[in-house]
Amino acid sequence: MQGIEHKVEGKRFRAQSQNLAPKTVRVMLHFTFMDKFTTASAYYFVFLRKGGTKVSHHITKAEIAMAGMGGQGVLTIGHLVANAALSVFENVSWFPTYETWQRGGKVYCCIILSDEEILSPMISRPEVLFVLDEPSLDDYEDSLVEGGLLVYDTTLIEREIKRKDIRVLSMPSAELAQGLGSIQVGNLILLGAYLADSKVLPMDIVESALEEMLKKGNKEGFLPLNKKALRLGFERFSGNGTES
Amino acid sequence: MGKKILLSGNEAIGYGAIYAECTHYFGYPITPQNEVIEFFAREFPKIGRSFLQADSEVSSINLVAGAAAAGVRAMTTTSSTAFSLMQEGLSAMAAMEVPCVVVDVQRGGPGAGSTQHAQMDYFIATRGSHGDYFNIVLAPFSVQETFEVIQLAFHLADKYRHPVIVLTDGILGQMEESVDLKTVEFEPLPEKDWAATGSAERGLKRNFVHNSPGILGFMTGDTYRSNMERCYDRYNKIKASEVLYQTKDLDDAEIILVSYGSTARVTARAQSEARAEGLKVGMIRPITLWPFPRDLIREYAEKVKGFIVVEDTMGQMVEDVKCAVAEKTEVHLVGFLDRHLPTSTGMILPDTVLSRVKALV
Repeated sequence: MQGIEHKVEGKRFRAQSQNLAPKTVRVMLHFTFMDKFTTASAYYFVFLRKGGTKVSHHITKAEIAMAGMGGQGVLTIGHLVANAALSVFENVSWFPTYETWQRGGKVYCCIILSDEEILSPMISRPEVLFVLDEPSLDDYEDSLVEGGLLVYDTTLIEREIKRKDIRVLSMPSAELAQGLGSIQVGNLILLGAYLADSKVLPMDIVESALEEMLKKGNKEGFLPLNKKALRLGFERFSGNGTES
Repeated sequence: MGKKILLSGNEAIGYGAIYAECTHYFGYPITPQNEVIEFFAREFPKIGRSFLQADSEVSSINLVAGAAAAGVRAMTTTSSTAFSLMQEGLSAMAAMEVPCVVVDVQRGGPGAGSTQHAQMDYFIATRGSHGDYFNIVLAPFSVQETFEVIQLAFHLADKYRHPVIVLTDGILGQMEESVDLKTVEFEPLPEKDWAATGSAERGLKRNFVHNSPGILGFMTGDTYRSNMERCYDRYNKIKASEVLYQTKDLDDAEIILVSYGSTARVTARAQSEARAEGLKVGMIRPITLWPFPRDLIREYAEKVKGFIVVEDTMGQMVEDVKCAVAEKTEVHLVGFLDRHLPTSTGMILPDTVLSRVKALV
């Protein structure tokens, strides 16, 4: 690694003066999005693969946006996906926006999972869009790319989807969550459905990330309910990608 | 290579400080940098370092000045409206020639503005407050780079005995990315033989750090003028040797995008998409905002059709670009008014930048 780093640094960083100490330049080794780094990042990934730390998988990139209101767990499932993806993808970003409200308010996050460098963590046109309430559907329906996937809850969203050029994955997740004992796990039911449909992340990795997250927040008691919700969504769509 | 972990930009500031062997943190809470002060409150006592929540930002910066004068690596973090409160202290520290690191996780202004992201502190960070001095200003554009730039900031601060500002923003602070934590190595620094550490080790010879060099010339032999000349030489040295930036696809570029910090991420994507569509677009990303990569921009001013500056303000860095371009080509701004709704305060998105590029082509 060391050799490669030194080889590239001079080209990537053109200091105005020759006085720039080489070691100071070394700080910038991670700045990978620019020109001359293509070769270096390729080596970098080879190195990782040889190290065997990454799980082999086929999907190399996913750009997901999630929207809803504060309290629905939009940021939480986004964060869960990002955490789980750490052991699968080379790069992960999770970008949240929320309003200064304790509950309610518009909440939105973008998650990018990629084996290549992530240029912008903010997305103009996501490939996958989770929508958990109707105002968010109004706000973001148009942003989805053509042929993109809309994942939404039919309990809280009653209106028809305007877009005809997208794929839809929908279920009454809030109602199903109530059936499990808590409306708060509706977000995980939708996530389970998406995981089954997209196969972007293996279920066991998401489950262990979920366990870790709940442990960190001292909420281990909720693990059985959360897992049940995730699996409910997953099993409903684990056939050929359409609801049975 | 360690396993990558998911960190927010604000936490990365804390990790950077730990890796840089910063021992003293003073701060006061303000959104959107609260995770930083929480990090230090939680982590610093565990490893025997000092955390103190001050009673205001005025106190924070003066506590930093005191600690730094005693020779330790000290820092504070804050956000825009409270960064203003620190200006007197920063100017004093420039006069005292004591090193420190101040991180400004920018939010909207003026005044209390908004608690959301913005890049409106470019002027105050690069121009500073009263008196003839220049902060060294570093602007990372990712969580990884935030972690590394904090280490660089401490190095430069000690190297030049001067405050260094790290300028991030609400987006960079709140978002999380996979990060590889490792210490950045720099060339060795001279011992801080000027630090006011008491007389115990030096017999009766005490060091004296004060904020009116020259005026108290009987202590040092300096006059006000000779002291200012010495400082000026140092600023010229910094300008000559510490400019940092990144470039992409400049060789055949007809349009060059200039952007720093979080908007540089958006701009990088727009640039990459523009190239994919066959448009000859390059990009310059200043990493040091002072010293600014003026010579580089000037070099390309005669070769390109125009520059587009992308920054989340009504126009601040664009002034530095215009100054470098010296009217040899057009300079346009994609700024605050190009924020895309519907998020609560809106933000500049890749498609917005791309459409402006196409309009100019």
